[in-house]
Amino acid sequence: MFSLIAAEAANPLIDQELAFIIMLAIAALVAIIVRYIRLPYTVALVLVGLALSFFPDFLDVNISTELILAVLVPPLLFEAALHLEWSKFKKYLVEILLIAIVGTLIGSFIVALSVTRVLPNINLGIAVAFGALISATDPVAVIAFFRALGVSKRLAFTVEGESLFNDGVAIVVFNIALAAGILIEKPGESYAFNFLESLQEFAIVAGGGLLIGAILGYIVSFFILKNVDDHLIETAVTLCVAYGSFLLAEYFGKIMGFDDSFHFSGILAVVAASLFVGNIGRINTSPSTRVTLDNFWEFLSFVVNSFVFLIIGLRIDIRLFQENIIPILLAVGAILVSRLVVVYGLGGLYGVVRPKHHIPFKYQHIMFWGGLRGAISLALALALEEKWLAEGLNPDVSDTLLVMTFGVVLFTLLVQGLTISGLIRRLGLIKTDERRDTQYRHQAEIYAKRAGQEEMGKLREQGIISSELHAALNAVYDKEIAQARTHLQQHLVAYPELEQEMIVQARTDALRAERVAIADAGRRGLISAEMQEALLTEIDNRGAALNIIKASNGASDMGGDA
Amino acid sequence: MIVCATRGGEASRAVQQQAIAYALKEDESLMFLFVADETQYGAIGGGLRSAFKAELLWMAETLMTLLQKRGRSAGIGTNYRILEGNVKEQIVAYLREQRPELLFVGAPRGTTSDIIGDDEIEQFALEIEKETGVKVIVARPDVE
Repeated sequence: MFSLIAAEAANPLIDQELAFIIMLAIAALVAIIVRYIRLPYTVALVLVGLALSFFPDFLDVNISTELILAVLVPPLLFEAALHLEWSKFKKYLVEILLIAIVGTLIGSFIVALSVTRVLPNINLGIAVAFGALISATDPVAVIAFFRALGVSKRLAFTVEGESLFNDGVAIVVFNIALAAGILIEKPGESYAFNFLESLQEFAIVAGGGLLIGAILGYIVSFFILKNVDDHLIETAVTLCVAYGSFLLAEYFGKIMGFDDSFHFSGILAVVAASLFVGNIGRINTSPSTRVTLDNFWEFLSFVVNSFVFLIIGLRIDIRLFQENIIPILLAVGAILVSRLVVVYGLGGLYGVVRPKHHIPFKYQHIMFWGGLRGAISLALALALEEKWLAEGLNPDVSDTLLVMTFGVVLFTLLVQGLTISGLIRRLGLIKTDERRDTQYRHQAEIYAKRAGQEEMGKLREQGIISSELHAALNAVYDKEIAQARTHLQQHLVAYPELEQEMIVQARTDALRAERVAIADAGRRGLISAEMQEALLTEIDNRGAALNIIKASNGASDMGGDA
Repeated sequence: MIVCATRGGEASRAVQQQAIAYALKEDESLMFLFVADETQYGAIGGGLRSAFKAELLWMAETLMTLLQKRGRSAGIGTNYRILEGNVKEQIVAYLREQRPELLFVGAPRGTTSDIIGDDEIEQFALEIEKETGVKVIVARPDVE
């Protein structure tokens, strides 16, 4: 009924618009529902997508590789890298790159060898391509758990950093291996694997992508974000960088007017550009721009992520699972073994080489089980099928690999995605802040007892309880509230920074309310647009000042004594 | 007049209470003194500097208003002053100008006690006494 790419429709634009709105509405609905059930948002979207896939006429989404890789993935990677603080990120860069680059290469070959042993009609080239596409991790659900539960920065950085870089690495390896796989398969063609040549190609494509992204990110950060003070223009420019870096890298030969096939890694270009914009450009913008920028990218990431996971559910055809159960189980086993070898093997090696920076075993368990697969794997499997069939090769091979990808993606999302939070808890990786918990408990006690006291007052007014009983209850409540307040005060004496945080939080809420009021006054024409802009900037500056106070932990000023 | 140099908050409740009790006993007015020193937060970018200062003063105003209310509830005449700059320099200048009877300062508490140690606050008090001639009392919770 509604097609995202509906060439056959009478009015394809309206049809696409309708599909977009329906998917957005479904995503919003799912986001509301998951507030009340214990299910990760991304997993819920996949399940809804799977359910909808049984009604192909309702939402006939025609997903292409380009739609995922060139339209949906760049903003996701850009947003993820935008908030990675380089000063902290670089501390873990060696382990991230080790697992992202070496790990992806090793993982690809382990999966490839497993596949070729069991499925003899699959040549090593195409098997490595499959190994690469299935090695790209997509830990959106895991990162969401990290944020919700609060785990160590190192674990979060390593998992997120690995996924940012291994996507690009996987695509480069995939393209090289797929080209080889097709050559091996084609009658009359011969292919001789040359390790150095492949390594050289890998270095050029990956390095070129990073370089293009870095140059674009640098130019935009220093020449536009630093000098142009307009939140709308600056936000628009970041969107151009996100997509522009991808397109320039991927279509470098075509854009520059020489060999069309000459390209670099678009994914790595996006990551590099975003790291520059996030660490240089963003900090040189005004607080107003930062607010707009963060809100825009948060929203875009929500929309795109929602689409990606809904599309995964819609695209996976579970009806094919029954007849392909053996290859699927093989693929699931292969990715688990390869992940095991990569995480524990490289993790162990890293610990031997850099003992002071050893990755704790508990972190390695999460890195192993948190290696979920998602959009990149799906997009590359679709690309594999497309290119394989375009060469007129045996469709059984690409069909099998596609369904194996479906199986792995679904297994990791549903099984690993639903159990990872339990594992995080079981391993005791949730950072608990007893100071804050105690503060919240005392505050909640006061809040709850006041509510009880108010209710007693209502009961007395309604004549349900006598004034005498009310007075007695009230006195008990007063005593309990006083006790809770004393405990809170004592706690704040011991931890003055908590009181500072309370003040800053209250002030932040107040500033937010002021902002809304000014925007409202502007909309209603009570103040001019210029005045509105000036006042909003002032409030945003005050908000940024509050963040500095907050970041300094306040202990040096308002909490203590002279 | 009694002066109580404080930064507000629960951590300085001891010094506030001792100063209020003393002012009540001696039937003196009480002046709460807050010194906002923005340099303690490191270098603040040019564009943000005025907003930062304004926000620091806004918070000081809130905390001092709270203290004023506490003092007045206790039945004493209470006021407050917010000064900007180096804490010691500003306190010394204010004491020289106002010549109060007594200055109360608090010993740092809880997690802030490692910022200014106990010896340092004693030294701080001695220096102020020496420079201004105003008697300084370091308030500790155990003396409440």
